Amino acid sequence: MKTRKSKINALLISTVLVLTLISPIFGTESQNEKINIRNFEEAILVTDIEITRTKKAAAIEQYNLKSAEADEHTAGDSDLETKRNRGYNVKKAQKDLDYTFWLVSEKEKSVVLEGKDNYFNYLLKQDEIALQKSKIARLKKELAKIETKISLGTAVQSLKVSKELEISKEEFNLVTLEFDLESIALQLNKSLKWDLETTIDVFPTDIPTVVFDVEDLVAVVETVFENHGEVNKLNIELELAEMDLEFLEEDENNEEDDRVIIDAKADIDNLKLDIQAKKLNLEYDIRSTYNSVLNSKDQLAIKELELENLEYNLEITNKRYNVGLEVIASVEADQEAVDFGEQALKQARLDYYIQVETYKSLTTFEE
Amino acid sequence: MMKKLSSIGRKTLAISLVAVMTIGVSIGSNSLFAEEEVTVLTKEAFIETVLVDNHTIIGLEAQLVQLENQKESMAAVANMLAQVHGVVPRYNALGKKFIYTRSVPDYARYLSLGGKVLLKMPIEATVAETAEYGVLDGTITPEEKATIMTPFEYAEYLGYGDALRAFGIDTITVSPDQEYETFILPIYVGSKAITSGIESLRDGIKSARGGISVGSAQLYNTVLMFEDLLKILDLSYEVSALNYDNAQEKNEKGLISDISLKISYNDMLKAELNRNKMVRDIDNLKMNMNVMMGASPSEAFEVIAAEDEVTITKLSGLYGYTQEALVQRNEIISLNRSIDDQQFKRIFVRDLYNESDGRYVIELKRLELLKIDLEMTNDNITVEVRELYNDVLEKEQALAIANLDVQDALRQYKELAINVELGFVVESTLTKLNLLVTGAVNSAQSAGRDYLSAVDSLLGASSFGPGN
Repeated sequence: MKTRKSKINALLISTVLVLTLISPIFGTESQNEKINIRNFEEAILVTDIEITRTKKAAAIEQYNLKSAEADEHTAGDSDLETKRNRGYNVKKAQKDLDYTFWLVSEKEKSVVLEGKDNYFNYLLKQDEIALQKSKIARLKKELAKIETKISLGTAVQSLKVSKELEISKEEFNLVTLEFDLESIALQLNKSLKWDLETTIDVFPTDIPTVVFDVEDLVAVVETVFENHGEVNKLNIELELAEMDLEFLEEDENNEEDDRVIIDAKADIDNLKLDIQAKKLNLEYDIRSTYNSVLNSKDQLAIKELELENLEYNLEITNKRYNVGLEVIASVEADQEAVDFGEQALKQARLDYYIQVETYKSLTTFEE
Repeated sequence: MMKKLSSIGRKTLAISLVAVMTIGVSIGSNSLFAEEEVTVLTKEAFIETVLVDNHTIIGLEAQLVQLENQKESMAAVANMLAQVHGVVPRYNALGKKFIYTRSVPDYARYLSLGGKVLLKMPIEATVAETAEYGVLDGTITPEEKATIMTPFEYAEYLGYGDALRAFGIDTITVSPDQEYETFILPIYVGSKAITSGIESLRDGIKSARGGISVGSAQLYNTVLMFEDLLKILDLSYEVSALNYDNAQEKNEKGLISDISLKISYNDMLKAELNRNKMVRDIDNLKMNMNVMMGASPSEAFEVIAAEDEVTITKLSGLYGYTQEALVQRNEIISLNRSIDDQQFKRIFVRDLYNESDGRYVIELKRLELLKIDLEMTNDNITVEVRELYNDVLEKEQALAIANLDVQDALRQYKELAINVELGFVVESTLTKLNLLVTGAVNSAQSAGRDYLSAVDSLLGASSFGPGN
């Protein structure tokens, strides 16, 4: 009997142990994690799978480059192979490696930018939810007043109905905002590879101020053409294709109208077209992003003007209230409009910041 | 059918779109206010250029050439395989020496498949003749055994050894799966499949061209629509400037406060900023058009209105458009073609093997899946056409309302003009109303373009499909 009891105890202990071990996997209880902008940026760069994968590819390409360098003076099975061993293969491997490094840096830029967008939007959305809640509270206060007036016979029932409708609309807006917040939280958790249920405590940070001056766009486009990883890759591929054509033409087995020569020439023509198309697309990207920056800058100015007008309205209402021409509810409503105007201005500031960063990421390159 | 749809019951609505309106700002230069020489680009010229330069179409056409070449070389391979297939036994057991000595019917079946010659001295042997060698009753001597050729040896003898090795066959026998993949598919099914593939690709090119044409036309229309919106924003700016002038006058007379004047000033600034934003949006669209034509994004051109009047197409019933789509859409044609091919494959495999064979079951399942695909595609297209049909009706209504707005604004203007003449109203009010009338006309133009785009989309969806 005793043995049986101890067996049951052992079973219970082991079950508890197993459950303790697996519980973090199933995430039965949601965690609460704090992040600030700096540790957040560092963390998402480490957790991004695409970056890790591309870095691993770079390691393989480093190995390929070393092999190509080692074989540089080795004779191949054919004349063509021997010629390719001399410089051509090294250049090709170096191009692949450089391009992969460039992809890593591009991916890092986009991951950080997307992360920042989510981080700041999370903060803004939290503030907006608080504002929306206080708006609903104010409307409910107004509803209570209307109900009192109706009971006193100084207001009609329809006023109550329309106020109730207004409240339900604002409550619906609140739910939408809460969904938005949840969706941003999911994005944040996903980028950090945390349990998706984790409640994130985002440390409040001001949206960075950016200065964007009108520049010589033609010069910018030229700089991008000279430094862009895709253009560089295509340029080197063109050089390699031209080298290869030379090798093939030197081979006495090949006639001018042989398939292999025709194909090699077609490859060169295609690469030239690819370079041209890439440059056109890049120029379009730069110019349209530039326009988007200016548009978001103007949008920021519009929001500033709107806020200024809302503040003027509040000033007028306050003055009228002080001389008894306006009720306190109007002052409260105007104050609330100012608060929402400030919120809209912050959102415009974030959009402007993200646009400027997008432009910078497109037009600036690491040394 | 489509001809009939577009020609019947048209009526012209009393909206005349202003033909060519020059916009007062340069486009495509990333500069808001610089004046530049511009080239006029019509919608037709734009679409034509895009189609010439479009990478998708160029790629598809190159694929078509490749596929046609492939068809020729595949036919040669299939022909060769057909000859070899005749000498390679269908079943493992038959490939082994002497096994066909079990019974006459087995061997007869083997012979019927082309395995007529199995001896080192290739001869056209009949069953009776082969029997003379003692193959059928198992009475042949070891010396005689040594004279029997394996199927692979025979293929080698015919000069197909290398070809077989290229297909991974280097043993004396061929497994049923190997036979299916190596012979049955390329000889009997492959040629039909490649022909279907070529036809599908041709349809695909047609559909892509149609889709790109509609997409380009819509982009072009969007530019026109944005230019209409720009005119409205210009007017809005002029109205806000007028308001500010009035506010200044009133402020000087002490009729409104300084704060109200500031609000009016801010409204004017806002209107100007909104207008500038629209100029850049148009700039972006035009740059996109340039890139689509393979030109530099900063190339300057002016888009002109292609139509000078909006004609209302009287829609026939939704059913007609849906039926048209279900017959003409590329997705449907392709799927029907695949179903035909699959039917052929299924029957072929059934005749060759039997209905309990795994290969037959797989082909049957594939056929069922294709039929489900077709059903789903039918449903999707039906929904899509219904939505586009409703969209046309909505846009038509919006256009009618926009027209009424124009008439209303004109009526107000005329009434006010009389009051101005009588001295009841100041002239600046009339100026403002004049601007609003122009704004209403511009809105009606936009509504007209929206309507035409919706009709184009519906007609496109009931023929070649939305394309890319």
